[in-house]
Amino acid sequence: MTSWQSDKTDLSATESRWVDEARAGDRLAFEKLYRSHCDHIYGLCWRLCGGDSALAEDMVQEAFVRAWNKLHLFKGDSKFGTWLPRLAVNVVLSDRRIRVKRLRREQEFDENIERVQVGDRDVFAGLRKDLEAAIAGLPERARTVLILYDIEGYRHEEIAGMTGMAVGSSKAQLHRARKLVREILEDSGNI
Amino acid sequence: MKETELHNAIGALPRSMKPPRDLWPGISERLGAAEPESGTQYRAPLWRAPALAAAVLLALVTGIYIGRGLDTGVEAQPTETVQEAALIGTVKATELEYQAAFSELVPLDYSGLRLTGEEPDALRGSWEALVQAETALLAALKQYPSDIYLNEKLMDLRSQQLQFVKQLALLEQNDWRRT
Amino acid sequence: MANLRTSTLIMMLLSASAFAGQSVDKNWDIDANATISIENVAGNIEIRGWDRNQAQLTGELGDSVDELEINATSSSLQISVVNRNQRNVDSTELKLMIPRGATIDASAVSADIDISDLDNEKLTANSVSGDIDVRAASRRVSIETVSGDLEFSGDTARMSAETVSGDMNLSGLAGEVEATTVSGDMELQAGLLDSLKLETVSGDVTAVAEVSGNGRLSAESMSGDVTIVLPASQNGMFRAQSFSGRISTDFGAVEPAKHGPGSHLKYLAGSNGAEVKVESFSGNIRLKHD
Repeated sequence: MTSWQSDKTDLSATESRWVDEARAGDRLAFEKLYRSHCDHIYGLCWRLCGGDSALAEDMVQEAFVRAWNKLHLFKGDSKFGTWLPRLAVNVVLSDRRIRVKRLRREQEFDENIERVQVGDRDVFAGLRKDLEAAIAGLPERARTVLILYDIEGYRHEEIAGMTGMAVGSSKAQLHRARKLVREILEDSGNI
Repeated sequence: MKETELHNAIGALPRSMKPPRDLWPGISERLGAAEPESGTQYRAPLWRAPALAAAVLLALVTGIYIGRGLDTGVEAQPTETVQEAALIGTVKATELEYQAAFSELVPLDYSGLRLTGEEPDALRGSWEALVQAETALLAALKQYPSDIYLNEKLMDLRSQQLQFVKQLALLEQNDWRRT
Repeated sequence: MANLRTSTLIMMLLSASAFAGQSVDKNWDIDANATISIENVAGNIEIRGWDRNQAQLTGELGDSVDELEINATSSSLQISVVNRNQRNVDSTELKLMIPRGATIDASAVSADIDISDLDNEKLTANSVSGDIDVRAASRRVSIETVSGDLEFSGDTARMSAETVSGDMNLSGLAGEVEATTVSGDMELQAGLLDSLKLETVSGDVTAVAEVSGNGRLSAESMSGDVTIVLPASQNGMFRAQSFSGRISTDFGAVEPAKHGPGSHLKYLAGSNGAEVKVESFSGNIRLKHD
């Protein structure tokens, strides 16, 4: 699209500058932040939403709007790319409390998987597709913890803070999630 | 598959995914009016719903009553797949959540909504359409508790019911705000 | 309704206030693609586009008006009718002329909103019980009421229309369309659509459209009847399902559902990646070709 989209050199200094500019009301700077992080946030929301791409889109938009409104609270003591996903997780979890979600239908999910692109390629070996499906089929809490721990790399203490569950519960949910994923994969003849 | 292999496979999943369409326009729209002067605020449409605190639920003057819920005690029929069982289990859990959320709705003579003229009638009519759909759907589910399609429809309906209540709450909030 | 009077241009000071019961007649120089918003609780909002780089507000303020709040810059204009209290709000009639390309956001409670002669990027109108009538070309349109009716004719590439009980009659649609109602009826006329999402509980829906390659048409209903009219040449995957409604189709054939009650339809025509999906609980479904 524009030249700044692919500019990865010295990203953190550039990004700090964008954050400052965005905080001062510069929407173009905020758009650059968006372009820089939207794929990660979408991936995170998509998985947390169990593969419901329409809902994930809403969540991504809500997250960025909220980020814009809360930029004055972001002190720059952590990186924007750390602060933003936490905010997005919060958006998804808050939404869950008030919304009775439509469950993804198997068909829609498959189509969404087909359409997901990683980089420039549609990459989907059989296992990865089934793995995504298995994760999406998990009960919500188990799925949330699995995503945050195994994919996003948060620690249990952090997950506990974000989700409001006890650290012990986070560990138990992770164990349960991995067990369920194995069972689903075994059932469907994957392993 | 050993647990570590599975762990590695999960960890190898890409964190990032490209959204099916460009989401920036939708975001940009919501960031506020261009060139805000001090004192001019972006005014959201009167009932654009932000996240609704579970406590902010209300009734029309004549009262919105919660419909009946799914009989969550019904024994599950044998199902085709693990995923279907998971779906139905989740529907039941959601039904309990829904009933808890709506239990705060009490038929009141709550006159906080200063709607004029035909407003309450029109809204009541729409709520009744929702409740009628609910009654019919629950009856069907009693007959076919494991039917995936019906379960999905119930989830959709709950969404629509909550959306309706959200809209009312916003109307009410905005009413108070302008006083 | 106040007549549009030609008058000498009067530059008003920022936040000039007007008194209840008075006539309004104000003018501002403003950019061709300015951002304009107007808010009025009861009465009327009429908005018309013209070729001048000016905005002009005329009308009659109701007796309950406390202040007419105005904020004007060279690129933006916000007008808001503030009433003394919310219980007894008298009718305020406003007519606003704006540059044809300006973006507009109009908000009302019981006031009707009537917009025409625009050719702009974005148009938003919200009312609670007032009706909304738009005849304009606008790339992105968002119109919402609770019990008022919606009418749109003109051109757009992105339409979002929502009511609770009001009816909708929308034509000149293209690109992406989302229309939601609980109990209102919907009539939609569209050209080529990339995406059409319709949701109703008990309102009946009739939509005439064509779905582009890789496009998606999705219509969901509880008890409302849904009629979709597509070109005979429409390709794509057709799916329909209903628990107790009757499905009739010119595309493919209806079968009883594989597992459990109801009937369904699944039919593939060609391979353009388009999808047409209609679902109901008890509403009747008709898939017709023109």
